[in-house]
Amino acid sequence: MTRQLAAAAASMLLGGAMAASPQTPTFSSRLEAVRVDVLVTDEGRPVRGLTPADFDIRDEGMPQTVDLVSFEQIPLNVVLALDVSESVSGDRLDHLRSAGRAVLSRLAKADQAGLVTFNQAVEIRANLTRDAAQVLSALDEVQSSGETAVIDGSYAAMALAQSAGADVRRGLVIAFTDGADTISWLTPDRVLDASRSTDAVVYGVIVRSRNKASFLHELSERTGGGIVEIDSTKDLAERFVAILDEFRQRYLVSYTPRGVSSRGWHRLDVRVKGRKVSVKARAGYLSGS
Amino acid sequence: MSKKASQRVARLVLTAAVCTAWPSAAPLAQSPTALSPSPAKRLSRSEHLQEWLAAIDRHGPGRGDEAMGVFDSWRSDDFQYLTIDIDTLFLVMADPGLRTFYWKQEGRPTPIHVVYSGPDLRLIVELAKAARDRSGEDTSATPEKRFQRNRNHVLKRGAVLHTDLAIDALIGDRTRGRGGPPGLQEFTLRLPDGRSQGLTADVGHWEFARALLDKVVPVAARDEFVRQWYGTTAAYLEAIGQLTPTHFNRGLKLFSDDAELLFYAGCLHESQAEPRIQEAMQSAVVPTGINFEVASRRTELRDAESMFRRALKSQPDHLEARIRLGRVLGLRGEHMEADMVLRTAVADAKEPLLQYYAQLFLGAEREALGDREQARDLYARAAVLYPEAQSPRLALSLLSTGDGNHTEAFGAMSPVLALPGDSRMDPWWHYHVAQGRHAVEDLTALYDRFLVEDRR
Repeated sequence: MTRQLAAAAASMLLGGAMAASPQTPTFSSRLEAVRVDVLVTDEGRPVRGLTPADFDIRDEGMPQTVDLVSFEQIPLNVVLALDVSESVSGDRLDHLRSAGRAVLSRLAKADQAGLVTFNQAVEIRANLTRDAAQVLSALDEVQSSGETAVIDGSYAAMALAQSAGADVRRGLVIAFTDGADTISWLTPDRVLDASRSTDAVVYGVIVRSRNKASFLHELSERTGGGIVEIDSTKDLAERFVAILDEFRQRYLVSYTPRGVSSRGWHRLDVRVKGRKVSVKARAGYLSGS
Repeated sequence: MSKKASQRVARLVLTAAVCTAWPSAAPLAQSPTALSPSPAKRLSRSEHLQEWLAAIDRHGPGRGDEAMGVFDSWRSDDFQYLTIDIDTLFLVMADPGLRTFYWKQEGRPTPIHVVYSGPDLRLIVELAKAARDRSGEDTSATPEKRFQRNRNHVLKRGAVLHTDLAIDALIGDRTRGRGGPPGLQEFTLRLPDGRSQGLTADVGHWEFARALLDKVVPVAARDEFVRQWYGTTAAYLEAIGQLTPTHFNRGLKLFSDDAELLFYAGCLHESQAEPRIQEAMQSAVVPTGINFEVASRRTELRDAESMFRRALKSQPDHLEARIRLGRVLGLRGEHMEADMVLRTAVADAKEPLLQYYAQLFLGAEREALGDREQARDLYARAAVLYPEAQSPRLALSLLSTGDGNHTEAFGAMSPVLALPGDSRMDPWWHYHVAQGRHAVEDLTALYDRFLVEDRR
C-alpha cells in the first residue's frame, strides 16, 4: 500500500540495505507517509540534484510539504513479467532471455529480482531474491507455448514486487508481451483498480502489432511507469536496460499528507517548482482501504 | 485426461462456408470430364455419384475407414456437381421416366437446365433403381413411405460420411478432396494465441452434410435424427474450438426452440465476444466475399444473452445455460440480475466443474456489487474444488491487494503459481470449449441410434 511507511519499514531501510549508501536518506518514521516515485526529465535527460524544496506536490489539490527526496539510492525489487505464449518463440524467445539476463547483470548488490512468466498459466519462477544466478537459471528454463494471460501475469508480477511487505525497496515491473490478452481470468478494470493500492511501477514493453495491448498502456500510465513499443525484439536487451536505468534515476519523494481525508482515492499532482521539465508520477494512491 | 494434456488450451478457429458461385449455367450442361480435361482419367459425374453411393454404404459411422479414402482423388468441384446429381438421383427415383432436369440454386431466380450425356444418364437411372429397390418388397410400408425411407437412407448416410470426413480433416489436419477449380468450400481462419494465422480453403464437408439433411423428407425440421445431428455436431465443433456460425444458423432455422442448439449458439456468441476473437478479427485479412460472421463484442454478448434466455425458456432447468447467462449478464454490466441467476446456479450445481464456474462467476458479481466478503468466500470454495487452479487464487489475491494487505495478497496466489504451469489445470482455461465436453460420447450415441434405425 502506498501510505504505509511503517516504523518497522523505516528502521529496516535505515539499518539495512541503505546503511552502506554514502548519502543515506533519513525517512520520517511517521506512519502516514506517502511515497511517490517521480521521474523528472529535461528534453529526455534525467534531471539530477533536486531537493525537497524543489517539489510541488498536491494531494487532492492540497499543497503538501515534502519531507524527503532520494535519488538513485534505494534498492529495487525488479520483477520481470515475461510473455512466453506460443507467439514468443525462436529468435524472439532468445532475445527475451538475453534481455532478462541484461537486466539481471545490472542489478546492484542490494537489489532483488523475481521472475514471472505467463502463457495461460502464470508462473512465479523465482521469488524476490538477491541471488541473480537463481533468477538466471529460471530464465534459461523458459519455453514458449499456449495463450497469453498478460492481465493475470502483470497482476502477479505486481503482487510479487510488493510481496516483501514492509520492505522499502522500490518495486519495478518490466512486463513484456507481443500480443493482446487472450485468456486471463482477471479483468483489466479490476487489476487497474488494484494498482491504485500498490507502489510498484510498471513499464510495459510491447511488440507493435495490429492487436492493441491497451491494458499495459493503461497500467503503466496509472502506476507512473512507461510503455515502450518496439517493432522487433532484436534490441530488447537495450530496451530493458534503458528502463532499469531510467527507473534508477527517479526520485523517491516522501511526504506526510495534511489537510486531506485519510481514506479513499487521492489524486496526485507532482511538479517541479520554477522549471520547465517533464514530470512523470503515479496518478494517485488509495488510502485507508 | 493427463495433466499435461489437460493444460493445453484448445485452439480456436473460425469457419465460414462458401459455396462458390457457378461460373455460368453452361458448364452444367456438360460432363466435368469434358469441362476440365486432365491427363489422368477422371470419373464422369455419374461415376462419381456411383462411387459416393457405394462409399456411404460402406462407411462405418465414426470410423476412419477405406470408404473415406475414396475421396482422396476427388476435387472440390466434384462435390459441387455431386449435389446436383444427388437431386437428379432422387428425381429419377420418384419418376424413372424423367429425362429433363432443372436444378435450382439458392439465391438464383431461375433454375438451371441440367443436361447429361447418354452414358451418364443411363448410369444415373441404374443407380436410382438400386436405391429405390434397397428395401425390397416391404409390404408393411406404403410406396411413398418406402420412397421416403430410401431417400432418407441416402441423405442420412451421406451426412454421416461427410460429418466424419469433416472431423477427419479437423483432427487429422488433412483434407480429402482438394485442388481443381473452386467448388464447395469452407474457409478456415486459425487463431492461435489471439492472432489470425492465414486462411485455408477446404472442401465444405460440413456444408455438404447440412445440405443433404435439408433434403430429408417429409420435413427436415421434424426429423429427430436431423435435430440430434445439429445438437451433437454443434457441441463437437465447440469442443474442438471450431466456431462455425453458419452451422448454428442453419440448425436454428430448422429447430428454433431446441434448448441444446440454442445453448450452443449462446456459447458460440459468448466465445466470439471474447477478446481473443475480437482482437484476432481486428488483425485478420479476410478476402471479399468471405464472412466469418463475428460482430462487435457488444453485439455478440447481446446475442449470447438472447440465445441463453431462449434456451432457458425451452428448458428452464438447463443449468449450464443459467451459468453462462449469469456470466454474460455480468459482462454486460447487469450485475444485479447476474447475481440472481448465478445464485440459483450455485445452489443447483452438482458437477464440480459447473460448481467451479458458478462460484467463480458469482464471486465476480459479488465483488462488482461491493460484497467483498462473500466474493472471497466464493473464490475460496472454487479454489477448494480445483486446488491447482490459478483463477480463484488470483481473485483472492486481488481482493487482498485492494485491502492493502500485500503479504496476504502474495500468500493467496504463490503456492499455486510456484507450481510448474504445465502440470496445473484450471477449468477457466477450458471454459470456451467446456460446453462440448460430452460431445464425443454424444456423437457415438447418435451414430449407434442411427445404425439401429437405418437397419430397420
